Amino acid sequence: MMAKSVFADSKFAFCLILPTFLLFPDIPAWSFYSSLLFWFSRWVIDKMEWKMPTRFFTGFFALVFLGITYLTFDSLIGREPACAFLVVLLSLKILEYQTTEENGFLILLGFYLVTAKFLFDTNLIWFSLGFPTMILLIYFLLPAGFRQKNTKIAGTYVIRNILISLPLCLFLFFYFPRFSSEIFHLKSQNNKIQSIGFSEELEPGSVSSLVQNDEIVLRAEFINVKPSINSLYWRGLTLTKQDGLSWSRDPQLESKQKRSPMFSKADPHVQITLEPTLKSWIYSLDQTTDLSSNQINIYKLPLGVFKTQTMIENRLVYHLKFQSSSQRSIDANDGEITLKDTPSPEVKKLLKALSMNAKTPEEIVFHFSEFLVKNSFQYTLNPGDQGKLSIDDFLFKTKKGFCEHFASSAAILLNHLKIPARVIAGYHGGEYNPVGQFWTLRQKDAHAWIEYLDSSNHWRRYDPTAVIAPMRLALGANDFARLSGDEALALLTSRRRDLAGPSSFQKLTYFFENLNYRWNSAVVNFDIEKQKNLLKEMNISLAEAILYGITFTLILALSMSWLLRSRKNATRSQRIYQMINRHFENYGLEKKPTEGPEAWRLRTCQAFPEQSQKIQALFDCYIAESYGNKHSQSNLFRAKQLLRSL
Amino acid sequence: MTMTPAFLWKNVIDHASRIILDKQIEIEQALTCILAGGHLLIEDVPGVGKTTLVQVLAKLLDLPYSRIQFTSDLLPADIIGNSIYDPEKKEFQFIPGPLFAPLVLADELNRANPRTQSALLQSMEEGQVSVDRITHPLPSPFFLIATQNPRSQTGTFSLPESQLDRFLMSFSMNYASYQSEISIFQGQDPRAQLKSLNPLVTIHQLQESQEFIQKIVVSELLAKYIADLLTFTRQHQESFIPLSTRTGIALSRASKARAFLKERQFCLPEDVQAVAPYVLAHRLGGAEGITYGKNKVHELIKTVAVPT
Repeated sequence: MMAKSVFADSKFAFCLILPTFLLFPDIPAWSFYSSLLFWFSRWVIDKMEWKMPTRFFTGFFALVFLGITYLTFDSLIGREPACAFLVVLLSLKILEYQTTEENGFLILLGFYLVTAKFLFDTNLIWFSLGFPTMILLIYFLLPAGFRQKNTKIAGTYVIRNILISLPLCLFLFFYFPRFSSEIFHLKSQNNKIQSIGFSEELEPGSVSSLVQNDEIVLRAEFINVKPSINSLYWRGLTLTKQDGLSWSRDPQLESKQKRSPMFSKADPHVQITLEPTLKSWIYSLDQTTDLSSNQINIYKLPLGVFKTQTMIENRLVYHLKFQSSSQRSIDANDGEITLKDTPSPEVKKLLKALSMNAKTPEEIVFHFSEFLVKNSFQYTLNPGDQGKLSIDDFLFKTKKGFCEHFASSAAILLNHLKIPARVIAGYHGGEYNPVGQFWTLRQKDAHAWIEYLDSSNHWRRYDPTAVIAPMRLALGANDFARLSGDEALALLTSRRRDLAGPSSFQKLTYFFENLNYRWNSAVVNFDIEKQKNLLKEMNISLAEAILYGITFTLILALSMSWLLRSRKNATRSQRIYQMINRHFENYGLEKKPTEGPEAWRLRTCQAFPEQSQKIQALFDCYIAESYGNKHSQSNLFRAKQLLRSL
Repeated sequence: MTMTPAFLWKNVIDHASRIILDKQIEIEQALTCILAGGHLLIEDVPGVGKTTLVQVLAKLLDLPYSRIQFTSDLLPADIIGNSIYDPEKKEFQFIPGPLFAPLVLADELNRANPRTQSALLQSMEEGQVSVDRITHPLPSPFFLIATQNPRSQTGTFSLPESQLDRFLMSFSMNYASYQSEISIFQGQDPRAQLKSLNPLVTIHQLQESQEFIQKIVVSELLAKYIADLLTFTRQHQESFIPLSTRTGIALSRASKARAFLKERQFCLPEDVQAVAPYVLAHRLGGAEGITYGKNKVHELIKTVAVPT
């Protein structure tokens, strides 16, 4: 017999190849491309009517790829090696596909792969692609003859089944206990998320390189607080070690004293959803007093840095409280700043000029701002060659740069004048989503500014970029990059920022952004705390919840037993018929009340032509019992057996 | 070569439908009726093959056949027979009428006067004839196939409902289809073909089959279905003529015969549904005729659920 081609049913083949494409970002290239190669080979074999590869051939390849998987990951356990191997295995199965009896196995593999996708990525986008694939796979579980003849009935059958499962899914979603234990935490072996954003060091160009990067860093939802864009300084790292125009953090300084997290969780001002950064520091606002997360412990370090103990590999939700806007930090001097270079003569001249007639650090900072403006320093997104830019080059030659240039040189100058100053790397502003009423921060919002010790010996924020390019900060990176200078000015001076209103495309973007955010915060991050809160809101204690759970199960069990009993009251022939009718009802075929068993059998056989033999036998059981006067328990058993095999 | 009894009968149907074109269902139903041991009523205009059907069946089943042409002046004695005085034996001698044949074709039954009709129908029911206080049994088997003209034709005395009940089955022949008629006109004259026909079944085989049919299972569930059908007509007398118990028995008998022809040892609701239009049409049609009755039967079948 000619082997059947999987491409004969093109829709089936399509829905089987979908999971491979879904997993494309998560599996190694060799796995993806070799599986495509196998798919393609099968297609060519069918087209050219070549000989099929033997099972030995595909089995050999399966072993080879098992070896490659092991070599790539040094292990066969974990989601990455498993998926990489399964994707290839699926394509090999396609290569050796011969009869429709293998469909079940293929669909099972498909299910595995689509489900595995959710272990990698819980984005709404992947969900909206993966879920329809899942539905398609369920659809193809139906017998081919039935599907092709009754597409509509088959479709409604699948949809009805999904709808039926929905209440249980929702129940489990809300009430199935979430364990925050590590057992359920799958360790990623492949750090495919490149650490974008800041490294431990800030050097010329490290912020401006992010200008084009639209990747989301965090989303912040303010509760009962309306911040102005000017106050949204999201601080990440405090950099205290200088080398040229580069600044880096001093790990020793940070580890000096670690304060345990005893933050209050009540009434937070902001809820922040941080995307996985593969770093361990947490972004906070100036003057943060409390910062906590239900997911992991967050520690407060000196220098106003918040950190977790492990890398942030999963989306992290945390809450913070901050004091009303003042540029002064609540923290007093808590560290020393190390300068590597000694000032050049030209810098010395400038230092002299800055400190002239200045008594307080604030006055010196003001003089520095004046110096920037008078010498027409330029804020530019393309500061040119960054190579070995020294402070002299920047201050006296190029005179144009990005925020890190300004922040870095300001900190250097202040420290030369014995005013402790440190560079803060983080993000500024962000984009406000009016639909969801939250702020979205992207990599392009990266920013650097400084803090110096003011006359009252407190750290005070100073942002030299605000002096050079006030519009960059007033508008945020998004509008600043979008609009020309004049437009930006017009937008700002006419205060039409709110009136201008977003374009319809932007509205749509806001809408989807919001959808994605809600998805993440409400569905993906529905954790044990939220479960407890839900119970609390419903005024149910945990004990009561358990009690309700038991009651629910009992009611379910009782109603099941009642159903079974009512079935026992039925005669054997009725039970057989009920079983048969229920089976076909599932496929949208209903027995007419005035229909005899022969006519009914004929209809079902026509709907499932490839199973007509079994259906014949099935109805024979019923007919023998009801009309043939051949009463026997074996009729029931045989009918059950046949129904299972259908 | 061994042949199953049902195969034998299928062979008969095959042969008959080769002569009477486009009438397979009618042939099948006529045979079902004969196998069930019942009498058949055919209602139709003249010239559509009623007589040919009877003749073919008589020939294939090897049954001696007699034909009675009913007219308004026909008397009961003309069909039953007369007692004639035998001067030698000095007693009345019974001379059997044309009714004493295994297969009787009563042509245009409704042209006879009610008195003659009822004499015939009584003998049908009892399988015997009483003349001058002497009972004469009719031959066994005994089948009566009566034809009647549609009510619209003049000079007819319609059969009362109680009499109609004595016929197990009824149908109308209807005209052959356009295509079949073309074949009929091209082909041999059916009556000429009759002569070349050989019997396929012996009387003995027929009786064997009838005995076999007696043993066919009517399960409780099927009996319930028949009872449900009857009950429904009794509960809806505004639109149905209530059916008698005898009708129920008729349904069951005809169903058994059909199950036999389908090579089954038990009856299915499908058997009941298949024979019902023929068993019930003349009973439910009443004065409105068989065609109307057939529609009523369909209505009944489409309403009453098959019990499970």
